[in-house]
Amino acid sequence: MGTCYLAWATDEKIRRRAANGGFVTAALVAALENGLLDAVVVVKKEDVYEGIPTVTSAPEVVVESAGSLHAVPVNLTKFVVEFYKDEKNKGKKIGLPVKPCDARGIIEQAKRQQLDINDIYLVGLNCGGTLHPLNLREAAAEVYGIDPDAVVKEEIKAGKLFLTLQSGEERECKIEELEKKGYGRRDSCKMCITKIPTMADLACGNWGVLKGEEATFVEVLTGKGEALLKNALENGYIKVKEASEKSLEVRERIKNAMVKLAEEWWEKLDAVKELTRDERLKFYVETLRLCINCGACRTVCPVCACDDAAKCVSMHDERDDYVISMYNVIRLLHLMDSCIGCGQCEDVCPVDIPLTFIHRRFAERMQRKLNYMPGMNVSEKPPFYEAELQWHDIL
Amino acid sequence: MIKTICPGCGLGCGLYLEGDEERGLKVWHRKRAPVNVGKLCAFGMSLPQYYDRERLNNTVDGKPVTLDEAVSEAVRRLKGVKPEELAFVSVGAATCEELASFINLCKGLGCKNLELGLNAAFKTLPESSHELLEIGVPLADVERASKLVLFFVEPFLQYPLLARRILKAKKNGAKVFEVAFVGSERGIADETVLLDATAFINAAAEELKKLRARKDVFEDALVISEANPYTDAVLLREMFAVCAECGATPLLMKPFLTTSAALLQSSLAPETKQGLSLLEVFEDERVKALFLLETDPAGALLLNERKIRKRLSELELLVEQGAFRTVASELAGVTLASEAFFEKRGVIVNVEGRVLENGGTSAAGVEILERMVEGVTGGRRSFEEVRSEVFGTLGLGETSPKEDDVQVKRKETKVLAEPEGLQGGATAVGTARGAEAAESGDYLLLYRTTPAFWSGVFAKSFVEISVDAARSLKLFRDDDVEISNAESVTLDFKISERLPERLIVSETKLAGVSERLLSPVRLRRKE
Amino acid sequence: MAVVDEQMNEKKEWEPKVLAFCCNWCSYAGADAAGLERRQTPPTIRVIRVMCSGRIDPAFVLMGFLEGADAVLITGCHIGDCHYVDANYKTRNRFEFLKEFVDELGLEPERLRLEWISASEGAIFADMVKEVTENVKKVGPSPFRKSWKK
Repeated sequence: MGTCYLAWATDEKIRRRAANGGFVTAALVAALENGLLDAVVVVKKEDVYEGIPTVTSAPEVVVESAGSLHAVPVNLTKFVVEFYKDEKNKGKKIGLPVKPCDARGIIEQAKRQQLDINDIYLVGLNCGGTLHPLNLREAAAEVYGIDPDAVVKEEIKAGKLFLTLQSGEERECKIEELEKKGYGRRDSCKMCITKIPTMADLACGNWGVLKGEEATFVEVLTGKGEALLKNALENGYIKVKEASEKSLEVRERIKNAMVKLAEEWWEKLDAVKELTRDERLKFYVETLRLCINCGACRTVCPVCACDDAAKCVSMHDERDDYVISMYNVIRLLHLMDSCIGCGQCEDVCPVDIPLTFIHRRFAERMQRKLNYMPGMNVSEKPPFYEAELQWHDIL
Repeated sequence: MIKTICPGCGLGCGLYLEGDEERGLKVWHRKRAPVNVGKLCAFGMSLPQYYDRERLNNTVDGKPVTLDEAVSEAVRRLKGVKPEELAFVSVGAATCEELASFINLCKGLGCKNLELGLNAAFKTLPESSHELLEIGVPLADVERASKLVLFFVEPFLQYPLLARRILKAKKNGAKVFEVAFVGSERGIADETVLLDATAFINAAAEELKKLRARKDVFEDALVISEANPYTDAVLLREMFAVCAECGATPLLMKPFLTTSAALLQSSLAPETKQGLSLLEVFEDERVKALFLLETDPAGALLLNERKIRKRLSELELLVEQGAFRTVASELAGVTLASEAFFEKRGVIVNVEGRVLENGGTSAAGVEILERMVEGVTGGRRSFEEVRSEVFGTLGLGETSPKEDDVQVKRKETKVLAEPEGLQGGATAVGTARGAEAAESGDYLLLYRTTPAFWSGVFAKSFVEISVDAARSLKLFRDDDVEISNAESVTLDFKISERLPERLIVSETKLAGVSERLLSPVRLRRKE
Repeated sequence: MAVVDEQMNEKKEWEPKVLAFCCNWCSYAGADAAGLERRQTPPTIRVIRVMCSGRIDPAFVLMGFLEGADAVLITGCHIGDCHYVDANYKTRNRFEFLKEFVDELGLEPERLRLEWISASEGAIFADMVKEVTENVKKVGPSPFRKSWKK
């Protein structure tokens, strides 16, 4: 465990605009203004339901994009990969706020030589989950009883989703309540157990920030994280104090509660476990038969790095009449060690195949068996490709 | 990133496109898009390649000119043609604003032949049904329907983003029927009412009696079908008649993004609805001059390119306005270069009547058309003026449309009983029924139209044949098959368990072999 | 081979089809030895020779199943004997994935097997084919096979 601080921005404007003391925004602005970073990737807010990933070197854009966007379930990995594909961006240092699944995707891409992790400063954000924008709109109308277009801000605090109206009025609902009614977090988020981004350079959030304090809880995890913090501190962008025992305890407690909830969700969502072998086969065949070969799941997958010559594409022939297509079996197989459960594939599947769940079914058992979690450590290579050579077997 | 709409079909799926000429475009999913929740089919995913085609330039008689010269030459030549010999066609990716200007120009020239993709259907059905052709029902209603009939439409292949709505309906307890010549590959229907294609070719009325015997299928159902330029008039009329009889609601899907804008045509130039249809324009010798707007005739027609070229070169005048070069470009007297669809500013109306804003910034297409209008009538409108006419016609008022609401709604939701004895309309069938019956031993080729099919790009390079056909031809995996009629084509095959013995299904146009959705062909093994 | 069966004889007893990948240097020679030594092997087996078991992409195995194979055998040189030094370590690694995959998908574990067979182990090869055939007969035809396929 890294050193933990409570930190807050010295600039009042940032504090007001951003969540929890504005450390993340202040640290990124400081890094931009002092040359530690060449650019920052932010999700530019259009409204509560829509945001567009943007690369910027302008501190004011970073400040504008401060604040949470729970209803924009974008994974930034492929955006970052595309950024580095452009020759003129090679070697540029960038920083970005990341959810655990963004960080894990970026680390997996680094393992696959798509980018250099040393160029990327990952400011991790604790994540309890994201919401689908249209699902939130529906919830606003059906559960909160308000006009979805009148919502100007959303925030998740202490297990509740707060919606702020144009009038300034604030409505709240327990996330548990929402989820009972079929709204709330995306399925992938419900089952996700990676709540604190310990694989990033910094792990930030409001878990562990005690009542009355306006600050961000920051855990420094790597040298890059330390550089970000130090740069912001020494140049007067932030103030810090060491996190108290109590803070650490609270944060751990929240995390454990979230993980427990995720495990319960997985139990609930995993309907396949009740099935016999034959029924399981039938379930996979009938579900994957809906696939229309659009290839979207592969394009958005934050751990896929093959180009058009990918095996799942090149070995797939539409003239085959297999009960499950080669595309799907190869993808399922290849992701057994690498799936991070981010849910992007399911988000974009035009025929609503429950892909997160299916991939998790295959991946969970393999990753457990290998005692391997993808996207946590850049030096752990994907086991599918790395045969562990035990030379003592030979010699 | 540009917030745009997929021009692949009438659904109007939202997405972002990002990039430039040098690096190429890239698709990003727009999860907030209410039509498709950010999801896209294979065609939507291939939009970067779709847009990566050779651009059209401003030319007069093949020589490069400035836009000014092209516009004034187009005006001069168009004015020199008799209005009754002129036709205006747009079945592609244009905005409502462009179409409003297009209609304006057509009217200004006194032309009565304006085709936005629905004329054949308009002529097939009585006036009372036209609104049902133009405006569908909100797609959310599909999810809520208790009974769905898929009437000669395969959503997973033709309108993939409709399929998830049907799956949701099923999850909500809906019963799904399909009426088809061949059952759906994905088996989503609870029951399939199969019609025999050969019997249909020989005696359509007799075969359709099977439907009348199954009123239970249609009673109070939402009936999903398709209106394309080749939709068979007999089937379409039958569908509406059954709907009227059983109190069912029709939902007509459309293969072109612009087709729902035919409701602009209904309001602004109703007389043109009886004008020539797409097929007639290309088959009727009376047409001597043609104006194509954002339309690739090789994409929208089933005729082979040679025939299209021959017909186009016989014209006295061909004017083409669009973003990309097409088969018409080198034959056109005047070509006018506009921007690609994703660069356009403007709205579209999708199949459910939702008015969607395309996020581009260019109004070049409208400006070109309005300058031509000025040349013809003397009056010229700004983009804003055209836009307010469109909004007025769609009943939107002044403010920009909200994508979350379906703004254009039907007044009448159910089909009224029809007058008997309507004639005309398109025919899907390749030989005259009855007179020239399909020879025994022949196969029937059925086109399955998809976004790739109509756009003429990314089409599959194989046909589907039945197990029995493969067996009787003793096919080997590496073999090809030769399909022939007037001409022949050799290509790959896929064996499909669900096909009746004598049916061949193709998702790609087989030039020269078949110019209708269903026609008799011969099938042979080719080593 | 014509893609469609000329005539399916329903009455004939079902014989499983077992697909075996054999490496050029050991297991193929082992299979050959089984023949030379005139050992009885069931006629269920179809051998595909590859240069090394390390060449067997798991996708090949899956394609075998999807084409309708009732069982797939992966064979190669014993660990330490690989003609290409260490490629069969990869085979072993991939097999671990395949095993889990096939089980999760709902195919019986009897349908997939990895066996190291040297050039002199004709007897082992023959016994293995026998055993696999018997086991597969117990679990029945592959659920992936289309009724019209040969």
